[in-house]
Amino acid sequence: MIETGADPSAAGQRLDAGLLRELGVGEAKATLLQFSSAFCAPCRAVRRVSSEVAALVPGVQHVEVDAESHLDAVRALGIWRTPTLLVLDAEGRVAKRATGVPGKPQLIAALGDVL
Amino acid sequence: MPLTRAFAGRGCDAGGMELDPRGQRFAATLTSVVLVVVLATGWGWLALGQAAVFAVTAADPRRGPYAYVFRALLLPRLGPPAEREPAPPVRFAQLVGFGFLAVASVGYLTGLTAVGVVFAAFGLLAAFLNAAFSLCLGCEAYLAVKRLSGARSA
Repeated sequence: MIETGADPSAAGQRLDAGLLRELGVGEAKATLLQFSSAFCAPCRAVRRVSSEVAALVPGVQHVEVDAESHLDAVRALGIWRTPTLLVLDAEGRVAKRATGVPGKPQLIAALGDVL
Repeated sequence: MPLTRAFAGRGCDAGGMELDPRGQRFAATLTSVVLVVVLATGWGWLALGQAAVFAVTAADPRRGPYAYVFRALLLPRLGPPAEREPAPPVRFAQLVGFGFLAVASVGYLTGLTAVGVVFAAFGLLAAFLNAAFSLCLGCEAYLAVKRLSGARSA
């Protein structure tokens, strides 16, 4: 795969439905799609924040993906580091992309733009 | 709330071993000091010693030499940690540190001083960023290395 200049998972990009299905993203009004890896300490904090927000806000699902076992998807989405969190709307469009640990209020605010 | 893939056997929280993050910051600080001395003096044996420390800590972070210093001198004053962090990211970083310092010590001890300086400097950069900003080397580097080196199934 040749890397192109376009950033495939930047805010505003619509992700391929087949790719999302492959990653286990089901139907939901909004999805917190988290990419994690084995040697990533803050991934755990992102998991905690995301699952709490998903439990709190109706219609939101949290999907965590082991980046290493989905390298093709990771390449297709232009993801280089973990943790990376994509906030997706119901159509699979990226509302926000965050690397590192987002705050709960930030995450809820990002979801507010989607829901 | 589906978790698509279990981190079987080796995930962030799968291994069970957890560490005091303050001990890791302390070890990174001590490592930085040692590497500054290495760079200032060009002392190849000290570089080799730090490589050995990295190797032991990578094998078992709780038995790392700097972990013993932390537990003996600082832990009694600090009290128990508010939170703990998983061990695999620490072991990954120690392994990378070992690689850098192994090359650096060979460079110094065989007279290839430039090699020693460059690799010891990389080691110092990583240790310093870890001590000062909790750099997570596994977050920044592991996926990128996998992406560049991993097999393409497409």
